[in-house]
Amino acid sequence: MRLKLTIMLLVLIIAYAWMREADSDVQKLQVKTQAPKTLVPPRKQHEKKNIKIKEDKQQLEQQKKEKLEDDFYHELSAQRYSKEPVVEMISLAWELEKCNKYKYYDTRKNYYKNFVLKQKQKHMFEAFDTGCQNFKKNYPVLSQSMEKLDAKLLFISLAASSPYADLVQRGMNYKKMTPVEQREFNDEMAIALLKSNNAQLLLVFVKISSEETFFRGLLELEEVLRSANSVYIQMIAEQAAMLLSCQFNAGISCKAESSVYMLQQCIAEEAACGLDVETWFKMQFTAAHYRDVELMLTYFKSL
Amino acid sequence: MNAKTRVLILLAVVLIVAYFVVRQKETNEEPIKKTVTISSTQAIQPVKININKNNKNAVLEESLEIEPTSEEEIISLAENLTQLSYLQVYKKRLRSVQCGLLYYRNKNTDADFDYVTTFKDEIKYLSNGRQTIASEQQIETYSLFVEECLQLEKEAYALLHLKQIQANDESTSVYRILSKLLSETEALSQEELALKQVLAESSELSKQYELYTSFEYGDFVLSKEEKLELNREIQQIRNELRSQLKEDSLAYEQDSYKQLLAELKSKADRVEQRTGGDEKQLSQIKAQFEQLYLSLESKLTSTYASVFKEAFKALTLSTQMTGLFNPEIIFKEIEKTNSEFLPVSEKIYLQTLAKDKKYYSQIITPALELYLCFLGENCDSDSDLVKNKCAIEQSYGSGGIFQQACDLTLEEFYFEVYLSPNQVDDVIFIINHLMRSYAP
Repeated sequence: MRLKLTIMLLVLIIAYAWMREADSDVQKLQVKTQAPKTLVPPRKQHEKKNIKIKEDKQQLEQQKKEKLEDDFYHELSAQRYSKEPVVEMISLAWELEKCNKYKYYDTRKNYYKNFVLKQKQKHMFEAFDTGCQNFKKNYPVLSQSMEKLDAKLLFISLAASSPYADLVQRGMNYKKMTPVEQREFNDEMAIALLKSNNAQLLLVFVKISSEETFFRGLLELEEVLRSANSVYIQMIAEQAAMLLSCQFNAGISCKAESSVYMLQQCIAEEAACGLDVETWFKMQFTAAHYRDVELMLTYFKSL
Repeated sequence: MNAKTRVLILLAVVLIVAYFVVRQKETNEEPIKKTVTISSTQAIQPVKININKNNKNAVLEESLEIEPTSEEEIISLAENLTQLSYLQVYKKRLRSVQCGLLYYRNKNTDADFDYVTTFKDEIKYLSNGRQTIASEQQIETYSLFVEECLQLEKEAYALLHLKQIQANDESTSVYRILSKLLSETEALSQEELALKQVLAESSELSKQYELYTSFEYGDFVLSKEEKLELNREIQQIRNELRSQLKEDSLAYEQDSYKQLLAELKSKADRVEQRTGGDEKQLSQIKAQFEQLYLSLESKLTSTYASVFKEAFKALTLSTQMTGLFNPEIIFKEIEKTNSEFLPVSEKIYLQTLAKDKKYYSQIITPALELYLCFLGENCDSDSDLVKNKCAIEQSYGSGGIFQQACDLTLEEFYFEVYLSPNQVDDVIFIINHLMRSYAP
């Protein structure tokens, strides 16, 4: 009797253990067999039709996009700033940015408390507006339809065949660089911008040089001015790069009616309206201050 | 029962026992893991709580617990301050302003926070990226500064603890404790008497200035609560505008954006709306203000550097304590002030360069500090002014700290290190102007 009971117990235990194991296998099996079902649902006729329409639409979109790209390449072919399409693209984008900035001021000016445009200021806004309208007319894709194109891809493909390919490629991975690599890259970029002979790229220098650590590697700047005050050095470097930009592309970055900097000055002070950057600097700066800007300018030219 | 059967039974028993042992082991594993997790979180939590609980009073209690904490010890700490002269308390109070960041850290971090290691880590930021490793001298200067600040903090709170200084708020700042002590300390020397006078007038001027601006425009139309509510709505609109611009950089051309902007403007105007000035009261306050302004202006010709400094600070019409030579604050005040009483730095600006303000803000501080040297302020390499440049001053506008400053006099530092040779011309021009206008 005891033996029978023991054997029964043993069988029950083994059976229980097998059952548990089998259960989990069944579950696994169910998962395996159910999965493909959801992946390949039976396709109905009307869905097939929809897909056809969708494909036609996509093709049309693709054609439109290609046409837009062609138009865009045509805009770049005017070569106002450079023979290099990628440089032309950046320069034009920067010129467009000026119009966006202007538009921003134009909208905002109505909301400043007690802000009434004086005659000269009004005149400058009008002149800026005309310039921007012309730009938009000449560059319709760049100024109005860029969102329909993948600007980043375009940029990369244009850069790939230019002498700046390496710089652009590395710039794309800026965030992944180590601090030392970033510093080296910044220096290289700063020098490339300063040597570009391109008004818009020099404005890019002015803009990014306000980044705190941008040209920490260019140690000569301290020696140029013989000053250890980094806030001052940065200020003078920006002003010198601005003056340098006046010498290229017919002074577009410095003329009263096309310089965002001068528009800002004009909004703040009516006396600045109608003046170009160089005249304004000479009027505003002390002789000593201007000498420092000239020292820096000479250094930038010597690079 | 034969042997075969016995073996079978034994085997079955072994199997059953083995099965249960294995199962038991399996079921045991999970709870063990859980226990580990629980105990590890429990171990972290109390530390966090400790950090959060830290406050100025706790720090005081802690420091008094660690070191000899007898009543005599506390009395002796307090006496370090009560025995000081008026001028010495005044200087301690100035130092407490510079210790501000340190006190803030003391309040918000562990008791064993390592200031010097943090200083070494932050040197790149403090020196505006020019330097990566702190020099021995900088470390020594900074360590002494930390020691001085923490000692001052202990002394000030000892004073508070002994109720020798009455304060409404027990966690009052070191600056406030020292201000209270200063007001209760007798001024004896000529310089101290002049300083006490200028500090009193300065505090009166700032009160009058606030009254003047409030009567110039009248009270706010909305109550505090209404303004708070409207400001909340304004913030929501601002967020909305920002997110619209984020989605589309040309959003400001859209009508919906313009509409929101108009709504923002009308709400912002409503918040700022005042009932309008009270002419009678205004002219009364104006007369008092003018009297104080002129009196303080006359003190700019003082032979004492401390008096000049306080009169100048008061005449920047800044309500901020640290606003003395901070050009940004000076210019903010200029923009705010519509009255005929110009901040003194603006006056100097108009009388001297009257050119680019950004440039002026770079040279006015050196000019003023060098003028203080002329008035007799200690500007040697062991002076507080130079130590500030070497390892203590941390404001961005001044360009941070400079290891070259540690060995130099203030004049050498400014003329040979900090300013460009061209800038020196303009700084000397302003110093000459200060001498012509104010030198005794």
